Amino acid sequence: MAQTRYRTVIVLDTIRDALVGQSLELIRFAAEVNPGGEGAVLLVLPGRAVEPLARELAARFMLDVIALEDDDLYLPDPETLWHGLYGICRTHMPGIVCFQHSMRNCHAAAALAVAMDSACVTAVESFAGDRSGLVFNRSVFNGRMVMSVTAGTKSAVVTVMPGAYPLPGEPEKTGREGAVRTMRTGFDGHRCRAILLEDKTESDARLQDADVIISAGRGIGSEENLEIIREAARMFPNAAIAASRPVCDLKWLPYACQVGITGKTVAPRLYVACGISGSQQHIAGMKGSQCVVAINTDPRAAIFSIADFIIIEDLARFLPALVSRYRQRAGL
Amino acid sequence: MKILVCIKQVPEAAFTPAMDDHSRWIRSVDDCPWVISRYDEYALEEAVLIRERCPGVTVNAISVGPSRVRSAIRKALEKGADSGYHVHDERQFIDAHETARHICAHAAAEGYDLILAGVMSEDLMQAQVGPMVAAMLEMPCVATVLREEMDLQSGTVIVTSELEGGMQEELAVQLPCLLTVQSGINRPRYPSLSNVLRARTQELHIIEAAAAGMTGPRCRPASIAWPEKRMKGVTVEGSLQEKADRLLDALHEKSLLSFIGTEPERQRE
Repeated sequence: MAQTRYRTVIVLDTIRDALVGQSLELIRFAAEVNPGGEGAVLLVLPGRAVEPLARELAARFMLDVIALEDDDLYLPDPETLWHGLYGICRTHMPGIVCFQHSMRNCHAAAALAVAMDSACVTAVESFAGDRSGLVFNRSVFNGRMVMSVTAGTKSAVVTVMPGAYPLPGEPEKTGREGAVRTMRTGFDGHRCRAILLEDKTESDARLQDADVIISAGRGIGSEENLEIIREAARMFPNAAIAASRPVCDLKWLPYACQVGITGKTVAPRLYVACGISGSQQHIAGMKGSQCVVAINTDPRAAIFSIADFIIIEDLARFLPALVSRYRQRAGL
Repeated sequence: MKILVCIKQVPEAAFTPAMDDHSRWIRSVDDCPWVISRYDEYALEEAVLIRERCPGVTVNAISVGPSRVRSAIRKALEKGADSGYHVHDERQFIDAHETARHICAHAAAEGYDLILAGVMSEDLMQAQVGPMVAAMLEMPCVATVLREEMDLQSGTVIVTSELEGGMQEELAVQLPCLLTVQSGINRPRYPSLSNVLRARTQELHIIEAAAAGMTGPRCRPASIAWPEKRMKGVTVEGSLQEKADRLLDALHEKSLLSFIGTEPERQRE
């Protein structure tokens, strides 16, 4: 195993030594970056004692796996992780190191890129390069524009958006099983200690069970305009109020109402996005909705890309008109 | 104790930028409303809150970029920063690596106990500069901080950091360290009149980027574009009232909303 030079290093996510299955999407990403280069792919599985899991993955995907072990990797720890990865990368000099996009992994990726003097590209949605260079597409300006970034170095450290690539299928069992090696990170310079990790998701049955969610974004403009949102919700028998992160940051609504990657994932029959621009952070939390109505003054708002009904209007004018017409027609 | 706050100037979130002539990056147009990135506003406010709680704290703000970023640094002074540092580089696009190198050069010379930055910038959303500065300075770093409690006697800070999916972690970090601040950690204040008056006349420290001898960017913008029109939905057209009626009809058709009169009635006077 030591003789193999890996062109691609995939860093999988674990938490309490359990694999975060979605990070396996990186296998498909790596295949696109290095077509036909599957043999030169290395999976790195961080954790406290993950060798058995590493063996399972090596057999299942026929890829070499390093179980990167350290007590501090029982919980996601970017500092310990990047130091351990740096040791691996110095040996193999990979062209690309990929993580699944998360804030912790951005931290590890950025620090590793500094150590390796590599380009760092985070929140990658697709690969746009070829053999001559590494080019990646990613969203900017709250999803309103897409930029292509070229790595000006021979190697790149990237984080790839969850869901941007599908999970890999089961490969045909023709080749050999991957080799497994267990390594320690060797990092002992820790000046940061985890005390406690807890799940803070406040269970809000109203949001999970609602048939209809009326959701407010920064475009509502003022806290007073929440009343318009509440009025609109009253048109429906089982509706709840939600919000995008900026509205919760402003304390206009509690974080229990927040829909998105750092909040709740919802899938109601109807989701009405009011003044929500549609950052990936938000869309990830509501894209499973059966029907999406989006109201926004900006015709380029990213939320429109996933909307079934697009309404280019100021919600402060449109929602009162909608409620008023509903009342007239319902004879209320 | 010395705190450095890293600030980026970005176009206001509601502003739609225009592309430059080569569609490589955005054009710096005169009517663009430039502001401090929202996440950095939270970082600055947190620094000012620490100064209010602990004696003998100074708060410096630094920004890397063209001359226009001086207005963001002045805004930081208005909001309570004691001094402002501008690393002057006229390029419109400066990659995270170079930005971090400039901040690192300043911070290494000044010796800060705490460096704060927003978790990401509002425009590029890369979440790189903070961790890069920490790695360059060999400082511990915690990202996405939702709460901090400074203990100057023991030289540690207890932080709560947010993970995706509703998880939160509590950590103890030794000073000096770098924290990237998540939005919502505090409520950024409005500038006081005395700070506004002070900011108007206070000299900024200018550092010429060219003098630093950088090795060049690691990342370059190849192109920028409007995303493909993937709109699968129906754009509801008409007057305000027609749009309202059409949406009501559509929701009714999908059995998402029920009311008795399905046909639009004459408007009641």
